[in-house]
Amino acid sequence: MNEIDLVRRFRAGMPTHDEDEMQHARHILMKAIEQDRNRTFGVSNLLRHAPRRSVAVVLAVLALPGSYAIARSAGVFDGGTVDLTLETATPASAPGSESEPADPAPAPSEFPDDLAPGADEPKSRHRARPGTVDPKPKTAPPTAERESDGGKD
Amino acid sequence: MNFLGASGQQVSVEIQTSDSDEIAGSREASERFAIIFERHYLAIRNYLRRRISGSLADELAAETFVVAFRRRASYDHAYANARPWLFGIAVNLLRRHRRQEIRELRAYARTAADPLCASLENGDPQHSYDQRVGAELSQALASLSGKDREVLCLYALADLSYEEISRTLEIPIGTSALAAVPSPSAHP
Repeated sequence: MNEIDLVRRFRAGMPTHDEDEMQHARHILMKAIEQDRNRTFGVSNLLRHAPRRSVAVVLAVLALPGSYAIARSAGVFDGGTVDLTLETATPASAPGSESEPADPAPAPSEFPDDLAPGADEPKSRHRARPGTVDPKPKTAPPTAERESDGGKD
Repeated sequence: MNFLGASGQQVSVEIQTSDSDEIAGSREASERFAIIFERHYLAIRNYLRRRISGSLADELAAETFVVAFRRRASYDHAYANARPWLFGIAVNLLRRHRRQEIRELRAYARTAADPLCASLENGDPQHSYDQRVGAELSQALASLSGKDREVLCLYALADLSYEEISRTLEIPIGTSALAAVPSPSAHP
């Protein structure tokens, strides 16, 4: 028996299966999954009432994980893709300005028709200024990850 | 999934998706990540239980999957198997409790009684032998550097390959840390 075999036998008699603990761990994970789903739903709900072009800017710029699912859930996109050429370099408008910058001609994209240039946008108090983030979601923000969350030391 | 066989009969084949596919799918349907849990939880938990006391090991095992779920967007889909990635997270969580692990190893070395074992088989000569060997081994493990101990434990306790250890610990496969274990050709 060599040294590696000795190490392989080290604490080999420890219990290898504990259904209660596994069930408990599964429950903890499912709670995290549910929180993630609720956060997605909460953001979707918020985005339903935001100007759709602002939604496109926010999602494209922030590249949120699951942004596609959020957008689809919010009914913003109907199986299409985010057109990154459309919004990111919007000329700076004066803060609080009511007028919207002229829309560039969109690339052949898969946006729904109501996002085409000239389409009327729903009025909303919440309008993202260029380079800023949409209003904070009303739902509680996700729990910040702890400093030591499994990352490298 | 059903296919039509050459003889014209329907053949049912279960196609198991890779970990990478499930993790990718979980970005749209987060409940798919539960499949990763079902596949790998016991391996992670059993490994941690051989490193540190039971309740803490179970807690770290559960936390490993929560952390993995939250970081799933950063998973490298070049790798079909997520096990090394999960072990990497578990190892990093375990590092926060390095002092406790060392303390338990030294207690085992000193008393020849494993503090992680709930009960002893009294009068079992084989068990007595294992306890003595275990005590000496504990002393040796406690004296290793953190990285060497990780490499050795991942190889011997978790049964990871050189490549998997390299990926788990994010060290090049040719580093001296991997010299802590003998090459496969050296095994009898």
